[in-house]
Amino acid sequence: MADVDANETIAVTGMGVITSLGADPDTLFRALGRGQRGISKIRAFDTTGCRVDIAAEAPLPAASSKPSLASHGAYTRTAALALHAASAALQQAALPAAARAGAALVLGSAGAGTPALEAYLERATRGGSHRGRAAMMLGFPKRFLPDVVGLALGLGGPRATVNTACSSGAVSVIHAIELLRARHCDAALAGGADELTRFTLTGFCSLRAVDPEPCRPFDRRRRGMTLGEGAGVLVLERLSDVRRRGGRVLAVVAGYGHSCDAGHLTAPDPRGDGASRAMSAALKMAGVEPIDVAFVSAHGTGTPHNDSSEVRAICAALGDHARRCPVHTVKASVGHCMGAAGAVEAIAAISSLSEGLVPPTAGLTDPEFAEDIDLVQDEARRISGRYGLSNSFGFGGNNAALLLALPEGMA
Amino acid sequence: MNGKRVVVTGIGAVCPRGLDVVALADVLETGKGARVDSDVAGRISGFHPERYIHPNRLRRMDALSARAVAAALLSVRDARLAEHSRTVPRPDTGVAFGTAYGCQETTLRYAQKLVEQGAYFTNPIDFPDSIDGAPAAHVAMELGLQGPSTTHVDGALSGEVAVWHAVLAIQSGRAARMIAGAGDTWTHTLHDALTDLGLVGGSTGGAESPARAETLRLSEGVAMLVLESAASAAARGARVYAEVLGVAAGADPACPPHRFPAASTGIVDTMTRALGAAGLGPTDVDRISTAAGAAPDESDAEVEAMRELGGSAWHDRWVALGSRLGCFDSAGALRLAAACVTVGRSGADTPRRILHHALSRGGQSLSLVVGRP
Repeated sequence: MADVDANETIAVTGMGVITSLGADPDTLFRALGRGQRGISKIRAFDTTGCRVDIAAEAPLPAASSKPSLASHGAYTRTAALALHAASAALQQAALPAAARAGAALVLGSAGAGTPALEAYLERATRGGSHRGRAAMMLGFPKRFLPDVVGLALGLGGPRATVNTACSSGAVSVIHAIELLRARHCDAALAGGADELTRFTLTGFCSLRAVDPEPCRPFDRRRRGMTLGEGAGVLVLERLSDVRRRGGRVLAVVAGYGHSCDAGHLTAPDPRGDGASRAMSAALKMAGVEPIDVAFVSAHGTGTPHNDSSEVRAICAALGDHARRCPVHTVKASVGHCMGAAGAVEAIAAISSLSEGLVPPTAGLTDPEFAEDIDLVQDEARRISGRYGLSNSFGFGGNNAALLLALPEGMA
Repeated sequence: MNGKRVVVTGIGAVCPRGLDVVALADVLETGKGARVDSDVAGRISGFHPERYIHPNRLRRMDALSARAVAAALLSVRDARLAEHSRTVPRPDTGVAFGTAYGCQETTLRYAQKLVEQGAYFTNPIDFPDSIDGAPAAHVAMELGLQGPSTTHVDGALSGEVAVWHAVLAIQSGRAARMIAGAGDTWTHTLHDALTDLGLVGGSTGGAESPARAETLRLSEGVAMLVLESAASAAARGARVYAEVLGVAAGADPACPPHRFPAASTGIVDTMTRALGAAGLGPTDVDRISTAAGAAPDESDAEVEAMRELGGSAWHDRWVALGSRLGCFDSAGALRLAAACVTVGRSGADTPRRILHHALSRGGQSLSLVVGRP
């Protein structure tokens, strides 16, 4: 059986994204650079009984309507978001036909399917045709996400559906990298998608993890997250293959780390040990010193515990460099996109590297950790350097870190 | 096999047949072509999770999480590893868990409150334990596993994809050891929905032939495997059940999400590539554990693929354990566990190499070759 070749560099050749601030990476990054927020009153469902009625909803372009897919019952809003991002990423990568036909598809999602479950239970409560309500359950299993995208785009490679909660998008990228390194495919689409759901909103509200106002990560007055929705998909290939075919390399994934706190189902390790191990593993894999990290795209949810834990983790992983390394989070702008967050943020980080610019953390006016880390606030910051670290953490103490880099010669 | 070889050194299971995976393998081994054993498929009874988990922590746990923890602990004991507990962190060991429907009991309880009484009445304790990743998280916490933790929600391929992820994590050096497997639980809601869709039926199992499987019983279970590098197993003198010799997966790009593939091409391709990765040809495997029998509406594509690839040589080598295990998407993990037990036996007439195949709606096909070390 083929081994995983750790020396095989993996390139990003396509990116697709959709969030409340844009349906393509450039539009998103320009809005982030201006410190914009895409947060407003929730339109998707009735928020009666919730402590919170705001979120970052992503407007789906009209072209995302796919009547032919809708007939399958599994073409949910989450699938539409995923398909939008995957189509754009695939178009940008311009894969050779054979690589496209055998491309792997690894998608993460935390909440896909729960609207179908709600609809089923509502119908069951009201009565009605058994078969009619059972058909509603067809959209419940998350595995339909890659099946719908794969069918729409004609992808015949391995498929996987990851749910490690809010780190799903990043963990999907890691899984796809290893499929490429073991030569199970020649190209892989990896990322995540999640729609805003009543189930998720009420769940986080019940845990008092959502701020009734737009979130303020790393601010002394932070009270929780703002939920978002969206999708992010990256096309990954072996760098050697891309060079051979003359493809355009947007970035490389220089390293990654994945760990578990194994401590608590919802709360992060207060010392940030697990997150720090993930970040350090990513640096070690790339053979990169902390001083080489140009910026950190923090998980930065805005909950009191997550932010303080992450600051400790960044300090532990980067040492003295933590005080000089710009840190920001996009969640104050596009909300917490759940299973999509890891991929959306990796895409924003790649834009940061290529533009040499780190967007500010919106809403940050009274930073709590200014003595520990260098928080980017008010306006975008110019950076130079090749490497950006993107953090994604999830329930269960799940920690993933992606070290993204410009290809050599582009920094 | 080139590169880092990965072997299975421990197995744990919680299923309607009980906790003894060797006995399960025996049951699955016998009665080929016979009527389904009634104690293999169905609901789990007589399982006491408090023997494995402190009652205070068990109180909040979904049944799937509790069974996953128990199966993981059993697999670790079976592998004769030092006792794993919450107090001894193991940063070199991770968990990969697969589930088609996740923590249904808790998810349904939470969603039912939300739908019937509104957001205000939902229970905050239920929400974290409703997520699909909760079983993996509880396994990691109860066993102190601080390595990579993943959850795969891939329908009928959930267990196989989790094991595959674990193999890759070991090969890439992300983990020295992984505990991987899958499971699902029986609920009235799922039973009603699948019954209404015509996917499960009477109280007896289905027939052996996939084409004739008319009624299936909704079942449940969890199986977990301990995977590690062959070098690590050798260094600690571990008993090895099986070596993972080859894996390949693909999908029929034209297959709709709710259908099984109509064409055999993709299945032939994954079986061929998995055998090729193992350095084997079709006649080198002694048994083919097919995906057949787990759903009444399967296509004949898998049977056709076996005819194309194995011809007459495979005529009496394939088994369909799906109907015996009953209908639950992640039953592939139990099938795989049984295959590892079987190849680990030393008898001259027991299979030495098994080609395990999994097939799901949406056209995904995964082939995995396990062999006697």
